[in-house]
Amino acid sequence: MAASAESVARSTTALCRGTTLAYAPAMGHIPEDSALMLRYKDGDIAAFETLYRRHNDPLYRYLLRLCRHRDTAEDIFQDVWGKIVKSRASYRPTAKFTTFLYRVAHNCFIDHVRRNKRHSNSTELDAEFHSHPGEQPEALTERSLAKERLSRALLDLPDEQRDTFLLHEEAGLNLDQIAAVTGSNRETAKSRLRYAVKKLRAAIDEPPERQ
Amino acid sequence: MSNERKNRGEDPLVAETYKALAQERVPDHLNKRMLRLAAREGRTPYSRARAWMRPAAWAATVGLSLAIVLELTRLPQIEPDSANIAVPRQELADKDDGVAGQTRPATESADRVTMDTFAPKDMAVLREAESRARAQAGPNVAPIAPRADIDSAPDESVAVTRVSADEDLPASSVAAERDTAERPSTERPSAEGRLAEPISAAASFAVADKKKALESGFACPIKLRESAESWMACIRELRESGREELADSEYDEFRRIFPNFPETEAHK
Repeated sequence: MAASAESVARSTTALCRGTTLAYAPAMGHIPEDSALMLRYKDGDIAAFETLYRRHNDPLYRYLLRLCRHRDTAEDIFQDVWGKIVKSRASYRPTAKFTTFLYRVAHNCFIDHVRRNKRHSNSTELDAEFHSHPGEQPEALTERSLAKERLSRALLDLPDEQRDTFLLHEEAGLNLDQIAAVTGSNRETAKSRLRYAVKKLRAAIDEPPERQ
Repeated sequence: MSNERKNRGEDPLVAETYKALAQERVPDHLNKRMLRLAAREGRTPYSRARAWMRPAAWAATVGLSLAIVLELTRLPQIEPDSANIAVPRQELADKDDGVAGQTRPATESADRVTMDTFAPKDMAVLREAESRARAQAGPNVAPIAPRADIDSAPDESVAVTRVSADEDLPASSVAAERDTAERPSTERPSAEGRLAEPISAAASFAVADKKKALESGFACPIKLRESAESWMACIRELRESGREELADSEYDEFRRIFPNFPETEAHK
């Protein structure tokens, strides 16, 4: 049961990452996620569970990399879903549900940043990545090295660029949707994404001897 | 093509590397907590009621359908004669006048419907005739009062019970009934009061007069008593038919009313 739910979540995530969906024009019909949310609004708990299983992992990874701290990410994660649950009565399927979900998540993160500055000094994920102290860099494969470099570069990105990159990769949002979530315009979102990808690509292509 | 994708902020290598990197999953305890919260918050009064509302609705629907079917099977079949209800009231009243001397079944539905329209007129005529007869016959003849059970009983029995019961009524009730009969139908007391009026009033009262005359010892009808000659002829017919006792009682009554009638003529 759990495995099938996970596979559904995975396949949905993969679909969301696809460029076809990310840049698809707005569809005329109500998206399936919105239909599930409307069913939950009417008291269908199973509909919410389906919706939750689709989006929980991407949202969690988005918050994890945005906050760079696991506990903070979990707190914001609970806050986000709590707000989604509470806002079900006033929910209107005017936009894609993913846009709505990540806008709530983005705002929760901004609120958290304003409340305390803990996230700025936290590098828990960075420390986690170096959890192989005895292992020499030479022993790591090229792919693992690329992942390590990407992870470091991602944590070093400015918040806005990291946010934009994560919204694109995890949520599968297009530039317009990213702009709507972050409260910026399309060109700004495009610029941030381009800079972020450029820096990440540079980090991946970095020669091993310079590590 | 590659440059276009880079301009849009897309890089396949970056995307693939990130996918390989991002494998974190939500902890189970967090999933359980969120789903519990959603279940607790998401239950509306309607969703709680939904568990029993659906079977209850089905049961109510089935019950209602059965009740309707049973009610339809219980309804009596409509007979073709019931179309007579649509006959105009004036027509029925005319017909009633024409068969005033005959008896009609009390269960005839058309009469029930049109009764209240012509009953006052007939009642007034009958009351007048009755009062005339009473003036001629003397105090032995009791007034006729309408009865409520006349609708539900056959005419013959109604007439008999009517006579026997009416003999106990005081004379004041006659005046009251006359007032009731002469009032317009809108001023009449109630539906039950209207039902107390006879169905086929003319026919019932004609029969009742005959019965009353026979039971009270007056074998000759009131109409024949109006003139001495016809009354005497009736007495003569009674004697010829062998009903001597009735003829004697009629003659005694005749003598009381017409004391100056020639004796020789009376013995013929």
